[in-house]
Amino acid sequence: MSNITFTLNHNVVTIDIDPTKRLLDVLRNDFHLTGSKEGCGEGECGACAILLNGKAINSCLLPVGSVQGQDVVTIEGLSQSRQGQALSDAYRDEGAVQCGICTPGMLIASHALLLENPHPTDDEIRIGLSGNLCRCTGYNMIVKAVKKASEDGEGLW
Amino acid sequence: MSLSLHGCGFTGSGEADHIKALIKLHKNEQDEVTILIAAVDMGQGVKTTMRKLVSTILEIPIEQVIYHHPDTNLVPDSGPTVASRTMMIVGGLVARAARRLKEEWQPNTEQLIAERYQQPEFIKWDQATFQGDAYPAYSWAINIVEVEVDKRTYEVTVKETWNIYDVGKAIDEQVILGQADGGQLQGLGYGYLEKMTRKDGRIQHKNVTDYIIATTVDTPIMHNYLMDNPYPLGPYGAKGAGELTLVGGASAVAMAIEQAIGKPIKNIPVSPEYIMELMTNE
Repeated sequence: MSNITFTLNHNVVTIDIDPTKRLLDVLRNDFHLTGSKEGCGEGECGACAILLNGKAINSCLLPVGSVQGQDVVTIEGLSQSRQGQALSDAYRDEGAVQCGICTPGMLIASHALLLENPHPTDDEIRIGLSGNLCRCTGYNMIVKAVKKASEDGEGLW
Repeated sequence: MSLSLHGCGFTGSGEADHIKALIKLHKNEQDEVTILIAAVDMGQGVKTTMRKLVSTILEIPIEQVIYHHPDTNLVPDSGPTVASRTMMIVGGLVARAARRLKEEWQPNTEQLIAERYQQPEFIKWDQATFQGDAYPAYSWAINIVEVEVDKRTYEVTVKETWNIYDVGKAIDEQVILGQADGGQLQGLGYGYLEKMTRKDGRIQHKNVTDYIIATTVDTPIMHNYLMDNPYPLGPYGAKGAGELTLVGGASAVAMAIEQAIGKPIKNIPVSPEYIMELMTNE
């Protein structure tokens, strides 16, 4: 067991835990932040995506020890921000949510994309979200939602 | 291009003899109406569409229509959320109940309306011989698919699709178009991406790492159109939509590939390896 101190959703936290545990499990079981989902456990589906220092990372592949001193934002943190709200509103308006299991990871990836590229083309949006699998929506309404958020949210990213 | 159909409701005598769906509408003293059905919203939008249906018929704001996640302690058995039956069969009963509630409406009074499924007379089905009308209604689709096949790597790119769907009447167009997008992408995947093999009765794929489904960059430009063709016994003419959009994609993409490579295709998925076999053997 080790003491791991890191910033989680803008608060500094410390946890005494086995540093080889997956960050996904620590978030869900120890911090009770169940927004990040396990879709595959192999870094293929993106349902577990979180932001590590502003970049989208699959938390199922990250040992919690490696977030020592780092900045972690989960979907719970993102949804409290104005950017998260703008994205959620756009997803709602465009019909981008069906069963919702991919949605937390998709929103994280959408935000990470807009941080790097505030005015992406449709193709750039597709590439930015290509690490997030969705079975319900066929992706079109998700792409439209990200486009809408980037247009309506002038100045947010 | 493919033309496809899907039956709406349980096959044969399922609705009449096995399910016998029962629904209820409960109005409280604040004139809030609760829809009591067993249908599960798994993202397909039934909580939106059913409330829209009731609020439109009763001419009350949708905020006054309540639909909780079903609890079998509290709701009657309106049947499972399957078989492309929810809007046509269950919604049909909900619409009948709502129209009755509208006629019998007493403000600020608790009221309970129940409706049970009755098989329409004109639907004839013989369960002993499996003959007659298997379904009360069918929904239809045409899918046109354009592909590009790389002559060296045999990889397929689905470029663009044009699709028209007849679900009778879309209670909510965005909900149906969401099904059109998702269903087609799954159907296309079935046709050219999703290889599933068995060995000794076990499926050999463990995960999305080795069972390949479409990502954002595999999605073609889709042009989706809805065609009104009202079915008299569905609410506002609605038929079933839940399964229809999956049906046509695989054959349309396989036939497009067949046309591109000029070789007859007998199997799906039409993987690059299969195309290579067809192109190099004679």
